[in-house]
Amino acid sequence: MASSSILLPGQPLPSNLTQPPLPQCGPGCYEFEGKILASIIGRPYRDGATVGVKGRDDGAAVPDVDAIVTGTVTRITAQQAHLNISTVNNRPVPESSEEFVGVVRIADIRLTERDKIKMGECFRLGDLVKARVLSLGDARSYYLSTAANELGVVSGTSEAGNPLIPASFQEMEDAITGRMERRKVAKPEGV
Amino acid sequence: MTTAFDRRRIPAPEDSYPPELSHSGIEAGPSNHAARSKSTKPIYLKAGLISQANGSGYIESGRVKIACSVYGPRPKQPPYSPQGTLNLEVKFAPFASHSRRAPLRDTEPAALSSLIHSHLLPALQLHLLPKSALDIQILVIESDSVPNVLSAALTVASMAVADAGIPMNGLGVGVMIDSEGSGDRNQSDIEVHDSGGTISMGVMPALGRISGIWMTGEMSLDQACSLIDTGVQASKSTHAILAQSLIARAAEQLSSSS
Amino acid sequence: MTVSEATASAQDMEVDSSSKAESSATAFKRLHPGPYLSKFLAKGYRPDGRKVTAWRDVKINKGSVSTADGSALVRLGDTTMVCGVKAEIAEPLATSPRSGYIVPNIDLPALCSPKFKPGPPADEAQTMSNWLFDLITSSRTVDPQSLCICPGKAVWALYIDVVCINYDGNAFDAAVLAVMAALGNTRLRSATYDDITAKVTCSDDFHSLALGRLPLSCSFGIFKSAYLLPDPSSFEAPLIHTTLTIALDEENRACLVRHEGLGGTDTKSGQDVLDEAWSIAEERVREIRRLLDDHPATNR
Repeated sequence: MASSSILLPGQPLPSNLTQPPLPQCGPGCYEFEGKILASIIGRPYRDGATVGVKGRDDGAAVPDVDAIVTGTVTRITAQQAHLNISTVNNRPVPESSEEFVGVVRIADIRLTERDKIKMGECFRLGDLVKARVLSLGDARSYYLSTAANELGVVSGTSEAGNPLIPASFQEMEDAITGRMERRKVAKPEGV
Repeated sequence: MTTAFDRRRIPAPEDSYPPELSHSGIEAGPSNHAARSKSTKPIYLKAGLISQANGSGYIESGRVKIACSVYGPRPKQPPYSPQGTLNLEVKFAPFASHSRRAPLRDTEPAALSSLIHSHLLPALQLHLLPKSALDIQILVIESDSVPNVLSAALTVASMAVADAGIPMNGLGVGVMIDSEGSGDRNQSDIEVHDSGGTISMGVMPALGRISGIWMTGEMSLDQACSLIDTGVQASKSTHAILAQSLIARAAEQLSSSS
Repeated sequence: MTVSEATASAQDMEVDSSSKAESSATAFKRLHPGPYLSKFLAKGYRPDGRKVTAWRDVKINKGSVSTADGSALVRLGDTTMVCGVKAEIAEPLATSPRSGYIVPNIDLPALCSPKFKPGPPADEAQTMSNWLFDLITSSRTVDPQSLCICPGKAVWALYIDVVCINYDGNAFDAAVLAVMAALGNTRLRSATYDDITAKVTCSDDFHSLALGRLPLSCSFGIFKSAYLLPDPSSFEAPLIHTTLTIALDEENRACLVRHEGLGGTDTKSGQDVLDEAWSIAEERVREIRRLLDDHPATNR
């Protein structure tokens, strides 16, 4: 790949990408006085009716609607569980003294039997949880959902302080004592 | 004493002052060897030196040395805002100018911070960062005059933001021109006082836009307008250096990640 | 092939990691820092690609800040520190009319790490400033009496400011080295006190500081009572519960020994580990001192 094809913010996308039918602006570019300009450093591409600029992969990740996030449970009430989000789509969020906070409300924990859910049987403090972003939420937190098989508790620590292993969709097993604990378990990848 | 005793730092004498020479000539500092020439000094720019930051830049422009880091986007404290928030702080190292800048007694950075903030804002696309904040930290390691610091800081901040992969309208560049129209970017405080007036500008050369103008001193309207034209021209060479060093860094990163 | 092996072990981790949610090593590093570090150490490497017992490379650049009376920029791996010395004139204390002031401060600004916030020095910076002050005064690196211009009337106040530009761990070692390099590079003007005008005037004659012992510091961490890790990075530091710092002067005399946390490892007693660290420190200090002497001031 030639380095000449790297665009900088404010540079127009090459004309061979912007030929009619006039494309839509995807990520990394914007329209300015009838031209399509790059807004980040990266290589331009065209995907059907959309053009965009692809920057480096390790750029900062911020939670966005529909993104899959992982986070640690930091606070639990009867109605919701609070997570500190640490990765977005498998990319770490920028390190900071402030945390991106997400909330899983009780109705968003699972798809079935929503009326019978008890928070204490789904999450415990310190659990690592995988969830999908529903919306940007309120001023403090993003609203998250674990209502899918592959979402929920990924790893955690038992009451005895040992690692937990997924046993079923509702239970995890203490790796040493074998004691069962109830969780909203995420289906392990590759099973 | 107006300031309370600072318990967070090693105790210093209540009052101290820089050495006074028996003859005039403040500029004869210990490591100031080469006499400054009137011609434009080369600019050195390097992106990504601060590995802890999400994006960073370093600039040497004459006798101004500035490091800048960008952290974010970070979660923003309530209240909710649909737009991203820009936090920008300028800090001088205590040894960055002729007389020592004692911590807590230095009031210049606040004014500079807000100037750079306003000059940089038009270059950013903060509407794409809801509920988030962007923290830009600027450290002046060595300085001469305020207009020079302003223009160099603006260029390096723009570089750090681009390096962090934050969406921008275009790269911003800072320029400084004095009323002689020489476009000399590197003057000492004394020279700045001698000249009739100076204009510092933020320019986005790729878009042909100006993002801020700060004038000091006195000059006629016609003179000011022609200086602005000179500045826009001068910004192109800085822009070229900025673009070159950003592309060099991007080429490394994009080839290693693909 | 340090780096490629390190990357390879990072990839191993993805496969045999018990939590299968993370497909990328960077996410695993963020979510499970402890196990991430353990896996690297088990293979004989540190996450930044060096061998378990290796130090990071040191670069010293003296005299690059023209507004300071002495300066040095030090890089220890990615950790970057600038030290600038500024000499100003002050009135001595009545209790010690011949003593100048030595005011060392370490600043860890919000610029250098995502962990720090803007504002006054936080605990870590305050602690390090105090350590540095103790180290310089107790080893008499600069004799306060040598800063006297006129007893009871005027003395030099030597402000030694260290600013961190990039904080990748082990800031204290880097700061001490930057201070020693900057002091060696510092030139004071010849100053005379005029009794009639009660003012100090300076000439264009410069002289170097009279320096005493120049201690250099070596820091270690002990991870999980199993590994003695020299020169911990910012990723490793929060995972390390025992830290050990040894500062030695030109003749390998100790100027500072600090041990915090549980000593010893699973296989060695605290005494043995300290001895081991001491001999590693002696060798390291010899190396850095050679670099320090090798680098005459750049004329800028």
